[in-house]
Amino acid sequence: MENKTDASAPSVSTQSANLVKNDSAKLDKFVTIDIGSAWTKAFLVAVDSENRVSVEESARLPTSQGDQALVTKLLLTKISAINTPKLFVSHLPEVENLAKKQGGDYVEEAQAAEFLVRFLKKSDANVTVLDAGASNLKESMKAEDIGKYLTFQTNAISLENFFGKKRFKPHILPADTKELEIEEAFLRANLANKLSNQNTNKKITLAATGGIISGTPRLSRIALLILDILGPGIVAQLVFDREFFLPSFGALLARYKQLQIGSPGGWLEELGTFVSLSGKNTVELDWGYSQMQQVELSVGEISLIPAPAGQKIKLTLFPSKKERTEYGIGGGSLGIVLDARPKPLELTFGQAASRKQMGQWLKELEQAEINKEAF
Amino acid sequence: MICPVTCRIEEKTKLTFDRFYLGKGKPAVKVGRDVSDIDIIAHCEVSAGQRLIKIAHVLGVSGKNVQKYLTRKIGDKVYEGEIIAKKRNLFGLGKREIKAPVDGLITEIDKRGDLILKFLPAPVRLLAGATGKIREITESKISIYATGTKIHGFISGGRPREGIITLIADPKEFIFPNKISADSKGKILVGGALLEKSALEKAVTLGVEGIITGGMNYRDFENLGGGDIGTTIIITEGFGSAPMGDDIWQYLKKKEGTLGFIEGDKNQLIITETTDSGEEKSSVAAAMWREVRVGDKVRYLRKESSDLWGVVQELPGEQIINSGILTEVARVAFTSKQEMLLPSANLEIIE
Repeated sequence: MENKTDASAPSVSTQSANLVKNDSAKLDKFVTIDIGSAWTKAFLVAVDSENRVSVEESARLPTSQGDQALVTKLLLTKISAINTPKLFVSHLPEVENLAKKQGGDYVEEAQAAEFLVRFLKKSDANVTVLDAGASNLKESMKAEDIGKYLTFQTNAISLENFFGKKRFKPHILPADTKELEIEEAFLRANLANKLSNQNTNKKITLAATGGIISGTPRLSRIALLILDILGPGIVAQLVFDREFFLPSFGALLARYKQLQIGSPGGWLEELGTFVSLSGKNTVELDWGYSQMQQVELSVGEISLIPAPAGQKIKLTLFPSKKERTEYGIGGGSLGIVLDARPKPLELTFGQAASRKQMGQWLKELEQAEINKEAF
Repeated sequence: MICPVTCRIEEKTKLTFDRFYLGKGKPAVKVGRDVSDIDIIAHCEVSAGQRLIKIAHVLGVSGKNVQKYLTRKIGDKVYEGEIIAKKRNLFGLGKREIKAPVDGLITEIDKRGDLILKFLPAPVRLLAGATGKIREITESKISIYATGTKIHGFISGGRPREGIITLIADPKEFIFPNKISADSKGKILVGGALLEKSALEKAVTLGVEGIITGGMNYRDFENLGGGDIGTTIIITEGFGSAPMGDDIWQYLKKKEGTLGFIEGDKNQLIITETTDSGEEKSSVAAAMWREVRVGDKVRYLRKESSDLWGVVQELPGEQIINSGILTEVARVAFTSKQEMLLPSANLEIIE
């Protein structure tokens, strides 16, 4: 799925009429099959009376390139899919025929993404879907832009060879932490470009999904990845798709109108709010109690303040002595993450100091996550 | 878990072996005829291009006056050393002559006084290269139903070529220019873990027909641009340094000195048999996948290791691998007896 912002999304009422099934039939259970370039994901989903979509079963396998019927058949044996309507979503044009043969419906991935952005827009007007899927690998990145985020020594040729292999075998999983770091570094460089035009005065919502984002071993890794790509002054609310389900959800939204007025189920995890202060700063947090919480951050500091999902907080930033900006933010699994590191990050590929610095940030956030879990 | 299935060596199977005409071709056989590898199956004419000769410039005359200094006209065949234009200097003091640099045919003289000399086509006999039966004759090729062995690589580039299989380096060695000797013209060079860019450049200069090696840097492969650079390449293992797999190395070692047909567009090397007695096997599709099973022979690409081959001992289900990711794993015993727990998705089944 490509990253989409709400700016150009047509309104539901004008363009979706011919795309969306307007049947008032009671929705029950569906099987969605999301065939990506690297992996194929199947979900058995249930829709309740309030149009909340929950994932009951899921399975995933590498996409059998050239024979998508094989992976579809195997996945359908892994979930309880008998007599359940099937909905296929993919960017691969050949999947439309496969869907027909399987007696299923088909939604093109771009269309699913469009409906998804419209849906997310209901809670925040400024939404970006950050897709870490294999389609990003088609974009070429400079080795030095990737290598600067690594905690270990390597060279440009090794990085190019790594991504050369990934381009031909995108389903390959990072086998060790070094490979995981390289893939995360690629995403940083890739997604930072896509986020570069954000307005700093408005809160944005980021929906992170796909690839090594959904499969991450620790949330602190995702947290640092997001913090690294946020420009100075950005306040971002992060929702996280651990199940790789967002494209499938977008396809459901495109086909069933009643879901557009519902809310996503627990599969879409609220991680909290990420604030890029870019240097020494003070923030005010109004939790709705009698006193205001003031947090002072020194240059380079990252602070994680626990705040549960659903908690509403008023955040005040002071971009200058006479200026103050207020944001209504929410908590989440990670709470409120304040980042006072100067942006853009002063990292250089090939420098020992940069490698050490990245390692330290990773360690600090991991420790903060562990402490929070203990708390 | 499903994994891609690769058949790296399809040994002694029936195959349709295409022989493309070298330039303009005239078949010397008919469909259905039995041929041996040294039989002539077509007569071809290879034209290697043309040469532009600046007559006006060399003689110091204007383009429109060139005609009167030519000793030959359009359509004439000329031979190397033959005078094609001459001009006497003022008062008969000396003369200037232009000789044909090669055998050729004068095809054009333009307004600027430039003459186009098209090289005379050289006759070339196309040999069958395989023992079998002529199956099809088209305008561009003759297909022979024959017996041969196909060797498939990881990736390749370049047009079909043929040459004598010649080992130049052990599987773990890097191929630097010094590995490519001056007598490599017309050969398919085999071996090594990494083909260096400078060695590739030397191979192209020398007229090497093909190179089969374990690895190559991605940037060098990208620089080939998907076309033909004058030499056909097959990378057997992957990008970067990757020692050539023992299966391919041992097979090609046995075949050193024989004629090979390297096809960069199909990612394969064909070595035909002199007897037509292969098994009727169906060729393995490039993109075949299946579920991995205990007992499967698998390949797992590891950095800086030539111990890439193993057998699946156990499929214990989902576990957290070294990267921290939860996924299905397989316990694999490598040729060196080393056992490792690996992500099943990263395995390649070898058949």
